[in-house]
Amino acid sequence: MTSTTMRLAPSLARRQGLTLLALLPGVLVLLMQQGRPALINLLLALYSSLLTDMTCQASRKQPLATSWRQPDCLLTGLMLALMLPMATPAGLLLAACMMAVLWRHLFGGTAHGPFHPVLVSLLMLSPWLASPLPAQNIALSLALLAGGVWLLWRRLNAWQVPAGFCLVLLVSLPLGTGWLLLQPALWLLLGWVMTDGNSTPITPRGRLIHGQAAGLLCVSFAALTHKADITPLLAAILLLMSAAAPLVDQLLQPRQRT
Amino acid sequence: MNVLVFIALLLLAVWLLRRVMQHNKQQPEHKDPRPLAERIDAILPQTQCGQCGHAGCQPYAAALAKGEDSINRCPPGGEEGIRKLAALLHTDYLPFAADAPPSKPKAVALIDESTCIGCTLCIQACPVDAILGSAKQMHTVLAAECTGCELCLVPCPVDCISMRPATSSPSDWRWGYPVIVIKAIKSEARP
Amino acid sequence: MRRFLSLPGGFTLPLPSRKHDSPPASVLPLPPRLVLGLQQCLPCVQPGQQVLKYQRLADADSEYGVALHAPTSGRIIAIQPQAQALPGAPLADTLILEADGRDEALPLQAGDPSRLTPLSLALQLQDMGVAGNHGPLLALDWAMQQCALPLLIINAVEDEPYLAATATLLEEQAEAFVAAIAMLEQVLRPARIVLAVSQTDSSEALQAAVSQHGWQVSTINTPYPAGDETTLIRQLASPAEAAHSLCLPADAVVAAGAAILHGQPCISRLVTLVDKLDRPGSVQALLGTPLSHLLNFAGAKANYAITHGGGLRGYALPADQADAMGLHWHSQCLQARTPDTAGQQQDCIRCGDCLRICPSKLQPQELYWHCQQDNVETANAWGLQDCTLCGLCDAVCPSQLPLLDSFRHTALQYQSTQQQQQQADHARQRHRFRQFRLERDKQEKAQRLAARAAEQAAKREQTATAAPQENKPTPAAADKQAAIAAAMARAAQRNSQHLEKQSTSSADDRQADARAAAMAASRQAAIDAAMARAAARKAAQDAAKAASAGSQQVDTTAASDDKQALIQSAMQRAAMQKAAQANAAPANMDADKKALIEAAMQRAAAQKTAQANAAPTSMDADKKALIEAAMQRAAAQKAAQADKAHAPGKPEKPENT
Repeated sequence: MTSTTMRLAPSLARRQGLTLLALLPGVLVLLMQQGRPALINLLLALYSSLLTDMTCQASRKQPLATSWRQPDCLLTGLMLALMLPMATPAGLLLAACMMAVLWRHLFGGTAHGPFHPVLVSLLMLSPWLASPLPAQNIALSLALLAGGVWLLWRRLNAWQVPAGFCLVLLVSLPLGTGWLLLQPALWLLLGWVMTDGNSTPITPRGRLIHGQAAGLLCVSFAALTHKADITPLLAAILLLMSAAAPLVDQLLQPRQRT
Repeated sequence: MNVLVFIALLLLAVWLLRRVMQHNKQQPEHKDPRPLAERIDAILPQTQCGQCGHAGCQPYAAALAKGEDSINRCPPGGEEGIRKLAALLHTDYLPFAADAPPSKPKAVALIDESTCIGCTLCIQACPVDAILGSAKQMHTVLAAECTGCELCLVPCPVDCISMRPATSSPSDWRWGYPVIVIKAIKSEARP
Repeated sequence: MRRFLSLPGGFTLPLPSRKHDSPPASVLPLPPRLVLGLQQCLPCVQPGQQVLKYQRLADADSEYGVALHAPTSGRIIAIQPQAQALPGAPLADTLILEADGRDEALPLQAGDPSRLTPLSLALQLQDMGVAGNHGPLLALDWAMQQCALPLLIINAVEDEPYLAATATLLEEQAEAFVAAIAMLEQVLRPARIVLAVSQTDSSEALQAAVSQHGWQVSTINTPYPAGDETTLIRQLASPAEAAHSLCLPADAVVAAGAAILHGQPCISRLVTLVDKLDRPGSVQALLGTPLSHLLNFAGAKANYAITHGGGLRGYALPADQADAMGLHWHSQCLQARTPDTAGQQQDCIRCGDCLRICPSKLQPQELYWHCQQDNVETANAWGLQDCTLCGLCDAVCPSQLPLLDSFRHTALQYQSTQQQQQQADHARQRHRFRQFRLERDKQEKAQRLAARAAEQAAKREQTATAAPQENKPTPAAADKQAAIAAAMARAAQRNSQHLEKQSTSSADDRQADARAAAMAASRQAAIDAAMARAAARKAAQDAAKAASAGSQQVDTTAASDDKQALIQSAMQRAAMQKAAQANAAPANMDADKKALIEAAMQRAAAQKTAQANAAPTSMDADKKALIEAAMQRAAAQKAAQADKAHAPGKPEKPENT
């Protein structure tokens, strides 16, 4: 017997749909820039992640319709396709998508699992991801930034983590790490991965600290490794921070009660 | 540069560790200075019914504290009571023995006043002085004080005492567990 | 005057604009029968009795209850337990009134508010059945204190979605509302009156009246849980006023005005009917109207689920029992919704929305986790007791977790375990006192026997020795007795000292100390009794000095303060029990008096024992004979009853409940 009749916030499925929608500008920009190979990459990623998800659902005896009703897997695939360089071989992209979706289902689907699947997949495949030059892409970065801001405006994401991260990034501009701001991967991780509640602290203060710490680590490593591909590096930092999230949460509990 | 960054990271880690240690120190294990038997007695339901085979809750608590009895002998305490005892005594949860009297809902003794002969036997049997009356006068049970131990039933020579379920009022009612609606999955619903 | 309140969290709800959404309240046709729940009141009518409108059906059972009046004329069919329109539809005694349709009313007597004091007003409102949020509109214990009222808040805020009854009431009965507030002002004499309303465009009559009376209107524009009594007082009262201010719901204020000014008991209220209905809107309905009658009147579809209350705090009621559940005073709103609106529940994604919106700054996701684990203590550590059960976290949860339901469940469970613990503690106390009493009785009996033996021995000695010493009391026996008493006292003292040492060793815990003190007190009481007895013996030798000697004795033995208090209470109880013999037992005495009484009682007891030379040795036999006789009588009674029961035409004896 659930009593409350009124719902003041979108349901989980709708929320995920809107998050997916926020990626649309980025996808459009990428398609305009790259054309056919980008389209093939995107379709491949979406297709493989959807298929893996449905297989996992079937093996877990869950309704298959959840795969597209709650487009978690599509979001994962899309993010990977946007994040990995265009030159990535198709097999690697497929493997990345499958691994991410499998990781999610390994721990019982959405809202479970200790680390964000996209990060895990990126880190696991980083030895094979060879891309010496960072992909500077102003248009794509701006498009992703717009999507992220829209998500914040719709209050679908908490502002604390991105704000903390950006604050550190802006403060450390004199260190010469400004090129980070032009990395599409950074904005993707910032808007769609770091705002995932499962791998961040939940208190507002904790989230702010989480963002700042991640920003600090990112900037310090970026200052050390000049202009390399920072995607795996960022992934590693964020994984580290997710591991520290429970600690931060515990330390920053409001303690007015006994 | 490398060295500096790593030193900074190390310092951060050390600081965090110290915070954790402090945090753990701030919440010391809450120690109850009462003797163990007292703490056990505080958990027991105090019906004083003797269903555990002891002459009341306090002797049972003393026996438990000495480890002479098992924790599954208190039907009025219910399973919740066993769980609490197990947690206090750092033992495993034990289900009720098969021969143990079943756990009943709380009841209150009621004296049929027209039958009562005023023998005072039930007054002497009541462990909490919840029966009023004097010799050759009608007795009555103070429902608010009655623990429902049923010790007054046996001595009554005219069998005029009965157990009635404790009256429930809307204020006794509790919200039910929020139930998750179970829906049949299509693939399994198919024959 | 506008006032913006600041609250942490909260949510600005999409409330309907009042202009479009307040059709005039319609009057419900008379239902065939009324179902009146008897909560906190005792019926004063019998089933089968014919009652008139406004006739009293039940009296308040305590200072927290309110009376109940017949909403229409008719016949009482039954008084039986039925489901109530309360959360979870619990069973409670219900009075069922069959309306005869004539609606014959008792004459109403208009009252005169100028002669009322706050207390008489509170009593009159209780008699008229005007209920507030907790029991009668004006709490009797508050009225009894007769303290000055710095601030009276009239709460007309409806911040929860779907609630519209109060707004409709204010629009349609603005004059009555103003008159009611004026009446309250006249009787309660508050220093300040604030009307808290949720919309600025209140009716002209209200505005005019407000400007005329110098009342203050506060428009509450804040997020949702701002209409709470506590929140309003916190926000509208200055810190100095907050402790003594009063916040009264507007609908009850109107009912109070009708009750005092026109003598009309509270028998109906405005209900908002919303959602899947053909004719949603506000309805003036009699209390006790079956919910099905209300919803059918508003044109509910065949298959619906009922939610009682507003959109956030409302609770579900079983639709199949809608006939049996009657409207009560707190039914502001009824929603008929399609049965399957409950969405599918998913797992927490830790989005933190609940945390952001919580007005009490709690962490509902953690609370929910602990509540699901049934871990009440941890949930309390996370602030379950601070939860106001506003339902916002539940409403914003994207995973649609039943947060509110689980908080309600756990909070109530905690309350009931607390209650059980209290009862258990009480029972333990009684049991321990009983054990103490039995022990004490045994000791006293032994002492009496010893005294008698000593007396007899002394008599034998007397008869053996010369006659001239006859008149004097037996100093040897008295000495012996005193020696015994002193020895016992010393032993007891040693015991108590030992105990005291034990208790001081674990000094830091007050509870253990108190318990040890209680244990010591039982022994201490025995010591005191023994000493008093010794003093009494001396008093027999020297009657004139007895009192002072006794008091000195007691004074010298005075232990620490709390111990003394315990001893006093124990001795008082002992004295009360002996009161039947001694005839004199003042409830509270100081130590001196007590010693005197103790001495007197001892003397009386000594006299009695001296009189009773022959102990009743055949006690047991007597008792048995009595019991046997009683059993025979009982058997005879039973047989007679059985005969009666067998006899045709005679009704069976109703069971005592």
